[in-house]
Amino acid sequence: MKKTVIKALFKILYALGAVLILLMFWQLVVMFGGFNQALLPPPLYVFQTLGDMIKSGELLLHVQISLYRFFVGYSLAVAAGLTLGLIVGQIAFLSKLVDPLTQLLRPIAPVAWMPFIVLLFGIGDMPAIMIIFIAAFYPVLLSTISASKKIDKTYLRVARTFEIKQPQVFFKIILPAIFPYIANGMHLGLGTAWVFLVAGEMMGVRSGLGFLIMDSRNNMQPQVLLSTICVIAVLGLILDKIVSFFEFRINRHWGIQSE
Amino acid sequence: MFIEIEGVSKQFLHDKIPILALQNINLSVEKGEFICFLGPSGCGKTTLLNMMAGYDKPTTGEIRISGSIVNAPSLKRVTVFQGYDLLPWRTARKNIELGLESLKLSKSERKTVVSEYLDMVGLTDFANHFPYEMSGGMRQRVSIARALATNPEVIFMDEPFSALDLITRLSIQKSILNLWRENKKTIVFVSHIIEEAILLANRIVIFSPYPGRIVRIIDVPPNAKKGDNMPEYKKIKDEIHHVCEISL
Repeated sequence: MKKTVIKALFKILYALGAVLILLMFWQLVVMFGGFNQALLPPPLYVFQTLGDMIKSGELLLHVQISLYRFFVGYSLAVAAGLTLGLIVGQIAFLSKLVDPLTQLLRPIAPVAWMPFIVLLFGIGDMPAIMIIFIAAFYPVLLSTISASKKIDKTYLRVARTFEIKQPQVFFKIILPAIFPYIANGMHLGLGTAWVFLVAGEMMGVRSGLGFLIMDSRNNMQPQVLLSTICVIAVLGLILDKIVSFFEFRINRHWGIQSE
Repeated sequence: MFIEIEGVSKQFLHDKIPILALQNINLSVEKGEFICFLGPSGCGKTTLLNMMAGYDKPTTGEIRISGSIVNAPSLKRVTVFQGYDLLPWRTARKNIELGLESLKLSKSERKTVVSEYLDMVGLTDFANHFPYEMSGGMRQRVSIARALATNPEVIFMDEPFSALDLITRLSIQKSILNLWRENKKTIVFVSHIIEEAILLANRIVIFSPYPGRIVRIIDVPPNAKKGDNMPEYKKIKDEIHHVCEISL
């Protein structure tokens, strides 16, 4: 018990140390890099700006709208990826059809669809939501398909032993058995989708963290730009930690050894 | 006869080469017997058990239980597997309930049955624990309780203690023996440990490999179970050793 506490403390210390090194490096570049300070503001000035943005309530509004778009897009992707993945995973010939399709479509950066999405859906929340949807969809879909293919045979044997028939086999055995792998796909999808949040908000909207980045560029406010980047990083970290926590609990529950 | 195995052979294809796993097996088991299949790995004892339980079909020959040919698993003949086969997302109670869900029982009836079997394996206090919160021995006991709860006619066990430490193993062996004496179920048990076979079974079927076949069937006198200092115990152990030596 004591050992794990010390281990956790050290982990935090290392993380803080890493951030400190990064900030020092930033400060040094500002001091000796020869860049114009109006273009590359020092850390302290950026944090001051960040404080002002928080105080004025402006930042909160943008964060709220970004999170809203993110969760709508992500939830839709999880719902679609799960449903489709479970169906495809159960039917062999469908997975043979879907596999080449995903291989063809997946490498296309979600942002590449942007102009097309704007043409179809117009500007507003929709393009950002769609980009997040596309980014999160593939990881969820693919991990659900592969999980339903590699379900532990023991569980299917237990189902046969106790004469469990369909659809109960699906709901009582298959779905819970592959749940941890689905959770892992949802985790991957979350990370990917967060990366594309900013891209999704760079065009066609007047709010959100991505808009804030574009807006500060247009107004020549690098301190706002860097503040926003900090916010995106911290929010991404928090989201990831929340999902990791649930994933850890699920894996422990299912008896899956991690790390 | 309750279980009849007649001229059963099983052939597998390994890299397209046929391998005879079992050759001409003939065996009859009466209701309420405790049979142990003893033999080294590769002698086909698990293969035979799987066919008796209905997971696999013989290449030639027939297996009949209560007069009808076995061709699929059934709630009347339940298998306790090697290693762990509990569903990790269900508590001990819900795991034991799994088989009962396929029977036409009301919720309260199911609850009563589950409590009864939890008590039988001494895990009432762990009813709401998940498998990951239990030790290996507890999990194996839940697995046995789950098999018993559906009130099967036959219980098949495929080295169910292989993953347990010696002390846990001894205690579960004792409870299995008590269960068998009280309930008079037919049990077919696969093992590769001679002492375990003598302690548990009333008849030991000795297998030998390449191809798997029965080399001897030995009746275990009740006195042999009383401990390893009994002359009957020594006699039977020597006999098994002797059979194993000449057949290998």
